Amino acid sequence: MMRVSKRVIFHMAFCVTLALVGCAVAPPKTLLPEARLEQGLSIGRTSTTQALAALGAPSQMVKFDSGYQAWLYEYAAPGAQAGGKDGTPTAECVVLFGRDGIVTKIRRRLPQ
Amino acid sequence: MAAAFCVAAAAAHFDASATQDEPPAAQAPAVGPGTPQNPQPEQVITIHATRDPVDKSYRKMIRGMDRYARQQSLAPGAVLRFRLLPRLPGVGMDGITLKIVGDTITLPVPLAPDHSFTLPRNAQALREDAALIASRKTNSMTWRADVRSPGVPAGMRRLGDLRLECLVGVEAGLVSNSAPLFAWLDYMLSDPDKVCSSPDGNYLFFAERPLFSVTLQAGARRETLPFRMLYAAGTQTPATLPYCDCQVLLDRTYYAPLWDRSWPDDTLLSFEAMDDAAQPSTEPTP
Repeated sequence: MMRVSKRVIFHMAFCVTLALVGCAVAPPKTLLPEARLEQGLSIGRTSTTQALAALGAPSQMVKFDSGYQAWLYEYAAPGAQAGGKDGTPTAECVVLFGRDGIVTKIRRRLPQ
Repeated sequence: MAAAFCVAAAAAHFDASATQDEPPAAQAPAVGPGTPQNPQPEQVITIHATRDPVDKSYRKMIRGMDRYARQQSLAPGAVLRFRLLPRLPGVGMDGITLKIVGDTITLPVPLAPDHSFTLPRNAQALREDAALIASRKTNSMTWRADVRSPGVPAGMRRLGDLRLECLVGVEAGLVSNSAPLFAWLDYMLSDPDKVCSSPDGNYLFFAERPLFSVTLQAGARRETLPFRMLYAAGTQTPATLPYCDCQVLLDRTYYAPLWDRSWPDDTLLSFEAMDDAAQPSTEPTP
């Protein structure tokens, strides 16, 4: 049976991480003004193309096999401090696009 | 699935861990190859199941059940089951059969219509380091513990149940995220107490339907999970997804704040599905 010490494992993991990460530095995030979200998104109307044009690329986007897509926009909510206690950096606006590429749901979440 | 292999006697070499329904004494003896002058008849060996290196270990699953018994205070009165879930696109989950297979023992494991099951305790299977084998390719499915306390409203989950699911699931080795080549490393780093009490534990849960949001409620306190706790953190790519057992369940995937003891075990999680009618925002007042 192969026996490997935790120290060796950590060294391996460290090397792999270094190789993968390199010297990458995350660019600073650009937060959308809340008003732009309200103007740029409409349930049952806004398409993915229109959302991109109005709001730019989302912070994160997940495409599912079902054809649905979930997009995350981060925005500066009035009164919300950057960096909530749970580590969420900003307020969130999650947009769900249906199979037809039209917004079906929108929800928002402030830093906790 | 029973598979019959017609092999020449000289090629009748298979791993000692391969298992048959017949005891070893009933197996055909190995014989030398035939010669053109004295041809040997081809030998037919019926192999009813073979152990895959990543089949579920019966011993580990029993350890998971022992863990459940030790920490049932997280979910008093709950019932523990295990559950099969699809991992690859198009895999059929109906008609699956399960059995515990040791060197000399085979025990059928009845599967419920929701693909859940319980495991019997069997001393002989433990001694023989049996495997739990399903009639599907191992990498086509994934496995989870399923802990359900009585009295939880339909469609909701209780955080204490999820905490116990995590401990049992990691202890039993149910998650197979890594490529088989690195499964040993995955195993060595899987300490249930660490995985289930760390924000980086990353134990994935699957909702019944594709998710739009998950909301926790404990008394008057109510919070919606951030985006990074849905869809396997939203970081999977086509290149990485095959190594996640959330491969076909990505839209049902969420992390629960198991590590955050400010949420009591009786915290309830509610789910808004993608195809539910739109609900008012659950965002709390800051």
